[in-house]
Amino acid sequence: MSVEDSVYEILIKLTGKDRSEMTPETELTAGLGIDSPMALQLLFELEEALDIEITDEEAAAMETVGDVLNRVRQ
Amino acid sequence: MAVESVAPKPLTWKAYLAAFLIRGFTKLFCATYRIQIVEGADRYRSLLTDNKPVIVCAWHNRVFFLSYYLEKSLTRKGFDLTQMVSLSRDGNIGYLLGKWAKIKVVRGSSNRGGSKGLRNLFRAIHKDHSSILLLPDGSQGPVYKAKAGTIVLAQLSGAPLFLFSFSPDRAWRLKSWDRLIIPKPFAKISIRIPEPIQVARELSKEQLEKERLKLENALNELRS
Repeated sequence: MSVEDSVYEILIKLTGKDRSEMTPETELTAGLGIDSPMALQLLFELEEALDIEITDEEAAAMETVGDVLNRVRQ
Repeated sequence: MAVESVAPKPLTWKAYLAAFLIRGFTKLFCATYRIQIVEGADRYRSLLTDNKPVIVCAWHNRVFFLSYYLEKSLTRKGFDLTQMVSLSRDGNIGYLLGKWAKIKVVRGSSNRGGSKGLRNLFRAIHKDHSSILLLPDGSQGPVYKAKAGTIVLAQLSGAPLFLFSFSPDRAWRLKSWDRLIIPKPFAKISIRIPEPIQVARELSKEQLEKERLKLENALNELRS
């Protein structure tokens, strides 16, 4: 499974939305309804699944699905 | 996503000295207290046997006696407890005091939903099955106002909120933001531990606020 697939899988599990509803431009809060608990879980699951560490600065900069993909591809 | 972005201040010899003096002072005073659990003694004892993570909540101004009591009655007996300490210089002293009291420490703040500190606390519960010590009005107040991060952590982890409060029959109140309570030597201390609060996993924004208020009110009722 690619890194991109892993991100979408986590987002689908978390939001209950279909992958077809998500594009790199989709906003995490307004578009996917990610609130505080979901943000905590999203960041936690990304770190666990991809064995990465996301700093608070990086997390603060994540506003869209594309931002998340760009961060995990680094 | 809205999270904060600051790093902890470096540890200095002043932080070590301050922590050493505070710890000595705390141990000296606390050795003289007459302590009684007036509500929830069985609940408190069950923490050691149940082996299920909980989120211990207390107001920030209770930390002087609280840290001593948790060390004496829980962490020195092998209870796994993790605490979040602020990234400030004062937080450095709290970091050292926590470590010396056998409390695991993560740095950060519970103000925001996805902050690194909160993620590390969630990791401590989820992966290490550690209980958490949270001071819902910390680290900078306002005093007696619970922050939503405590509810978010309880919501996501499923760990119950285990409220802890105490009232001394005589005490000093410092002029710090939290009006820190230092029970006077030989004070009688009454501890109250009410029924834990379980937070539902799915909550709307309004329900989250209701749960936050419920925690705040419950802790404030324990003050009287």
